Amino acid sequence: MRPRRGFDAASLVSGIAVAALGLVLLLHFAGAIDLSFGYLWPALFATVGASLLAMGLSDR
Amino acid sequence: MTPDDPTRPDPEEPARDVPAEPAPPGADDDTAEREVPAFGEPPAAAAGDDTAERDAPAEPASGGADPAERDVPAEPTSGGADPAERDVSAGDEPASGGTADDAPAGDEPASGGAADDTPAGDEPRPWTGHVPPAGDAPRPFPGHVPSEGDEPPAWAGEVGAGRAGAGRGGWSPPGGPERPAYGWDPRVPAPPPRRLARSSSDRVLGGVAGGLGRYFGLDPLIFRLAFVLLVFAGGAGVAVYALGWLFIPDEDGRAAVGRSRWMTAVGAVVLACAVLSLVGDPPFLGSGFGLLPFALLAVVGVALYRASRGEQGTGRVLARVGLALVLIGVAGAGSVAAFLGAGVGAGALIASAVIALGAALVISAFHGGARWLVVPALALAFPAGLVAAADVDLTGPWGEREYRLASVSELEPRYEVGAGEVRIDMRDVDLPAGTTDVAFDVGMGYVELLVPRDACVASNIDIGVGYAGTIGHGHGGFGVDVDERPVPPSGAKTLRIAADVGLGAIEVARSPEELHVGDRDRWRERDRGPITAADVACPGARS
Repeated sequence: MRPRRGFDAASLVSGIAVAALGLVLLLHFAGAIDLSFGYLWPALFATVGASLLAMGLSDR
Repeated sequence: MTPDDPTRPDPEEPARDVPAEPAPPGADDDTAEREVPAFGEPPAAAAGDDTAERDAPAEPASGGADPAERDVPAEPTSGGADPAERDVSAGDEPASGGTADDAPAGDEPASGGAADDTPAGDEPRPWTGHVPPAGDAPRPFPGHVPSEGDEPPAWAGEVGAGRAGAGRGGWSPPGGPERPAYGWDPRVPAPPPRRLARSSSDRVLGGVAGGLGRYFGLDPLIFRLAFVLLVFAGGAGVAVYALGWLFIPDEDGRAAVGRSRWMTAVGAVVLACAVLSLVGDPPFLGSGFGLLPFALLAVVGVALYRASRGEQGTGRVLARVGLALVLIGVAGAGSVAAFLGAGVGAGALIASAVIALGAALVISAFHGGARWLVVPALALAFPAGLVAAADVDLTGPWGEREYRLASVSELEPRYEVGAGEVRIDMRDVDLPAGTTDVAFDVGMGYVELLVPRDACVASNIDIGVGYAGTIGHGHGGFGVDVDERPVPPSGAKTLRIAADVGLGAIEVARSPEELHVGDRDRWRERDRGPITAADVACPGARS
């Protein structure tokens, strides 16, 4: 892990998005929900987009 | 300084205020903090920049040169700034056209009465940059070789503009603008090398079309129309334009890639895709794979570019690119492992790993961050999500199976394949009147079914990712759902097919010639000739 100082909002946003995506997957494999592509694509796009946006904005 | 300033020098005695010699180099002078170009080197500032004018080593100050005798047209001429009134040494540079705000206090009085702004009592400070020895003729910028017989050039207060041939700061040999006898004319600047850059003046969005038009000498409208037309080719125009915007540098040589703005823009676009995916097919994917392969290639390309950026030397660049390729390969292998693991029932474990990586990212945010964890998290989440959404079940038997049935009694009610292929030739089967069912459950692979020519075929096919080819129809992409239920005529022989394929393809045909994915030559030795009703799933059926 590259050491950085201070708080990194991009990592926080990315972590929350990734954890939420993992939770959706876990619910599917546990049989609680039925994940289809109609929900998978928005979830994946939202995770990647939120991460990129947070990284881009925090680098300014 | 005011006219009544007691420190004002006697206008009748200007020579006494002018030091005969410049201060030695390294003297404590705030001008030493400025970036001073080497003698004869063009200053970095553009033409017209007063900083360039100040920094130009315009005055060889040795010998107590009288400003009136110098050939430097740098004396302030406006504001009634009589040189006799100035408390400026010969080493100082009056900056014509500059402002008092631009000049350090006590350093250079600018034109327009800027001499009055010099604080009282401030010691006149000579130029502390490079001072050519007495008698050393000023030279134009490096690389310039004056023609024989030319006199040493006269400084025009700046030298940088000569590079662009703008007419300022260059020098003109005596005799006017005639071209010399030989072919190369040093007064004519060489045309700048043509390079591809996004246009800042002729732009609608990012200046890509304008830059292409200027580079190829064509009307940019041609490229704009091409981009618009390519938009209708699965959105390729948007992707190509975006790649051009990312990789073609602007006129200052700065590429969008590598700066935070491209990441912000791409993130915003991806978020927009997330919203659009809620109401329809994902953008750029449509009902098929669309631009997904190109997007993955673009991601790999950007990763390699960023890996090699900033490295000097071919060896180091290749080393960084090689390392990036290895990491990409590791991520790819991890994705395959995650796909297989989720397919054989370890999906919950993969999902838990993704959650753990997300939690690690959150924790790292308070300790400086570890953004790279996003990469392995997505490398696990994407294939796991694919398995989840496509219902890929790899727990069945793996391998390739082929059946050539002679009677309906040989037909199994269900064929299960974890990963592999199953091919069934039923063309010799005489189906009984009524409905005969056959089912396929395939995790990842291919199903090929050749049906009797007199059979009425009904299909209910669900494919996660792949292709379904039924008689006369073809469907491909993500989440393919085919439900064809023709109403057969009375007494017809109906074959009802139910298939669930996670990742792969299924083809139902009456002849190998109808196959698109499968090997047509596999059954050629048993081909029975042309099928008259090949494009009809159920001859005689009511729609």
